[in-house]
Amino acid sequence: MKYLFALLSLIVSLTAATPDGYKIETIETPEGVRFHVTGMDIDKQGNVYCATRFGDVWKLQNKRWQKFAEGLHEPCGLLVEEDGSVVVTQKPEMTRLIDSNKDGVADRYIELTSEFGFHNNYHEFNFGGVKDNEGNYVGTLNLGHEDSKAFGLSLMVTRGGYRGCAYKVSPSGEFKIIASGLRSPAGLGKNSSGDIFYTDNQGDYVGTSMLLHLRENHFYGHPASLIDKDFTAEKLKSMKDTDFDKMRTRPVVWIPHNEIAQSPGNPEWDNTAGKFGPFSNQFFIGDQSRSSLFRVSLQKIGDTYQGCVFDFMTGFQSGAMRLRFDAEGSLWVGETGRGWLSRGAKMYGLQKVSWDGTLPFEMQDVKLTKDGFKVTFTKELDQESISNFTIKSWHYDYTRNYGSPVRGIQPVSFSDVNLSEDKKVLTFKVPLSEEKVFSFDFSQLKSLVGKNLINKHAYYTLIKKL
Amino acid sequence: MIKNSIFLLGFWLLVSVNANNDESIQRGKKIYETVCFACHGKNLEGGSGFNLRDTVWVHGGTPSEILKTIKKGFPEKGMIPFETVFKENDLKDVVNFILSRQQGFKNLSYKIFQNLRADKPIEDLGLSKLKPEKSGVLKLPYLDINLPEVDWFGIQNSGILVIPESGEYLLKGILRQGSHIQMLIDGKPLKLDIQKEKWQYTFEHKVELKKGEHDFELNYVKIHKKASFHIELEKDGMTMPLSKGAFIKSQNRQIVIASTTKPVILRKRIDGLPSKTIAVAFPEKVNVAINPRNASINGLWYGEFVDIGPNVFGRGRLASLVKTPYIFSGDEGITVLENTSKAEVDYLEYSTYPQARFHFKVNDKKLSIEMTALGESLILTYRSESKQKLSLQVPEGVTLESLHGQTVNNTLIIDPKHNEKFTVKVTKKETGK
Ligand code: HEC
Repeated sequence: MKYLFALLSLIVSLTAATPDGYKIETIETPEGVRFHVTGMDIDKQGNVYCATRFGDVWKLQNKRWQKFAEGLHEPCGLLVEEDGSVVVTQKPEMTRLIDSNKDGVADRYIELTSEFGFHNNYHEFNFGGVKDNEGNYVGTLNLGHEDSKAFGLSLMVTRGGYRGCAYKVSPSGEFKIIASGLRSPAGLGKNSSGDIFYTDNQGDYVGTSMLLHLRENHFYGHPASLIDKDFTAEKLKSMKDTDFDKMRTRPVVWIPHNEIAQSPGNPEWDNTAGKFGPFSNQFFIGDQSRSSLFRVSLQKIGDTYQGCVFDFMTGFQSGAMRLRFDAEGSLWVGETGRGWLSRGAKMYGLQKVSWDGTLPFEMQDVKLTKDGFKVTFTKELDQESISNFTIKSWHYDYTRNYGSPVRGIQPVSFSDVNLSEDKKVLTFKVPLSEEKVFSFDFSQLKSLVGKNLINKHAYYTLIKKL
Repeated sequence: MIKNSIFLLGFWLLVSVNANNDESIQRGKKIYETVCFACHGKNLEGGSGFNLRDTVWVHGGTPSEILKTIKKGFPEKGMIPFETVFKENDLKDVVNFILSRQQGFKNLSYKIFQNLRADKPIEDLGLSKLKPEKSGVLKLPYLDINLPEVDWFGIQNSGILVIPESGEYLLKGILRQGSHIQMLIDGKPLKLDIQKEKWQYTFEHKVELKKGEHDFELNYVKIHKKASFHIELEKDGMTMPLSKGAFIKSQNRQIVIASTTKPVILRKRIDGLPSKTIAVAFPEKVNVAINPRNASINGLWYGEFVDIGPNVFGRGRLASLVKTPYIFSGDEGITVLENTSKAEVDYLEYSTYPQARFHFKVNDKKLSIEMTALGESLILTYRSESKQKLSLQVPEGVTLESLHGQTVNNTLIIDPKHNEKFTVKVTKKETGK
């Protein structure tokens, strides 16, 4: 037993990259409780609700934890409603928890839906924690794994019941499938216009982890879920990966494996209006493996989103799975390292990142232009250094194999480098091609005061040209 | 939290608290086996009290510190101050006994060689001759190749392996890679015969080891960024974890959920019960399961509720376990029939206050089932809006009694005037005579 404590108290020195002005604070979790945070939300009063993988819901109010609910089956998404009820997605159902006698503990566990299949497979997670603009609750259903009775063309499989699909449920319980082709869609979030996004984890048919825009009737690439659509097993077995490739919707961004993330959690939109620093209106996403945070900025082209990935900070005590901003503009990070190893000294926990107003020297954004890119920095650049960067491009395979190496990696030439008058915006021309990641290395770039960037790389996913 | 990460076993030989002889150890063993084993385990493996045979000491590992720990105890944690029960000399015997049972690594240190690639056989890479980028002491006495580092590196772990008794040991390993691992005991490299299995590599290697201390060295070059690494020593059914992965695996994995003052309602994967089942435990040690798909009471068992350990450790691949036999279990058990046929069931919710109660719509009419326990019996209170003839199927192994109906051929037929509320007592059938 004592090792448990010893394991937890190990102090591991990580080569932590943290932009200036940001600090991590560790929140004490209830003693002796397996506090693997897999769902998290914060209500208007600032009370923090955490769903744990163990099956509890805990509420942090006035710095005191109280157990709000228990006995759930691996809840992986949570949201608090204005009326104080809590909606959790647990493996067998989406559930509303109500404290009807007002003793601080939920006493009604109401089924919102369980119109999907759950076959006791450990990988059949049910993710959630978001509502769409019409007030429906949205969830994503993980495929199964290692199940000889299930259908599949690759590692991840299904016994039907809409595994590998995204669904929505109205407050009165009307269930509807939104989309198919999902693999291990471990986190949902939405931007300020209410568009819903989810992340999917690298593996079969997912060359590298991705952020995707969830839209009705789209197919996102993993064919197992098509068994619940108009496809028979025979038909699917006869189809080639190139056939599925024609059907699938491209991601918003490819998230480079190893460099940025291996198991991304939920995207959390920075709606703090600057309280969390210069990255408003971008997504922050945690990674469960690297115990890190990264950012994604969006660019809408027609009705399609694409965007750019930036690393943000590392050094969390355990796998960063769930993120939520509080009213002060601090970012809460719910953590778990269980089952899928994560960096850091702890198996679980809760931390909070806040910004003290010091402006870090970072890339603020990268946007595609008609003939190249525009990179905005948070601080002025040293004119001398502005051409000291390199660009590479690559793509990922789309196949049933587990993950894809970086393919067709090549240096990309650029020209006409120009620094804006305020010295913060760099533009340059690049020969553009679609369905590629453009990776920028700005490690040699210097700020006006001679500083280097903390996060030196940006990865723009170019799906469509302007 | 480990105050003494330097393990003082060798030191102990010099400052032993009692004459360190077999007699003292035997006397200590007797005392240990009468009082201490209850909390620290028969083989000192730990239980509610710490493991006492490994080389990590939370409260100090010198003989005098251990003696003091035992004398003063931890009254608030259940370990009484044993100085009030035993003479100092008796307790010294216990200390000698505990120290004689020490096993595993001590003084384990590591060296990291960054950016070393597995491009040559490990013997040719000559780790011992290279200058490490980093080195230090491992905080836990287990081999660990998964230190947070650059993505690929070579690592050397070296230290002293304490063997509790002489004999032939089986060194077993489960690895992510089939090469670039080398282990040396007392300077001699072991010839490991590494086999490939589906996802992993394994080896089993017989080795003669004498009781006492051995130099141990592990050389390893990472081929995979994340690497499982289970190494253990086995002898006569006893396993000694050598790597951190094996240690974590060896930890007690039971988590028994219990109901003490009020019912506990739980949704987990449970062995023998269908998915989505909801289980309820009562303090009376009556446990019951209900299937929300068909409003059927689909499981009944007594005693301990469930051990959810297998379902909540690691990836949670395995089912929670019910340790006592089910009275009945399956897809259904006590099922509501309407006019003798199965009804269309829509599950709505459960509530925990004031009682455990499950709400359904059955053929579009509300039905709720409230559960309580009375002694060894389960009391089910049904409330239905149906005006039809309701009945309950009686599964094997139990009898159903009700003031509101009659049992005919394994069916409890409810008098329709009691549909609004009828109560059923479920009791285990006496087997045998
Ligand atoms: C009722 C249970 C119980 C019994 C009986 C008991 N112990 Fe303990 N013991 C504990 C607990 C619990 C701890 C851990 C205290 C803590 O949390 O720090 C402990 C800790 C210890 C430690 C400290 C280990 C370390 O890592 O520093 C020693 C040594 C020890 N016990 C020896 C004994 C001996 C010898 C006996 C019998 C004479 C004994 N205990 C009987 C419960 C018990």
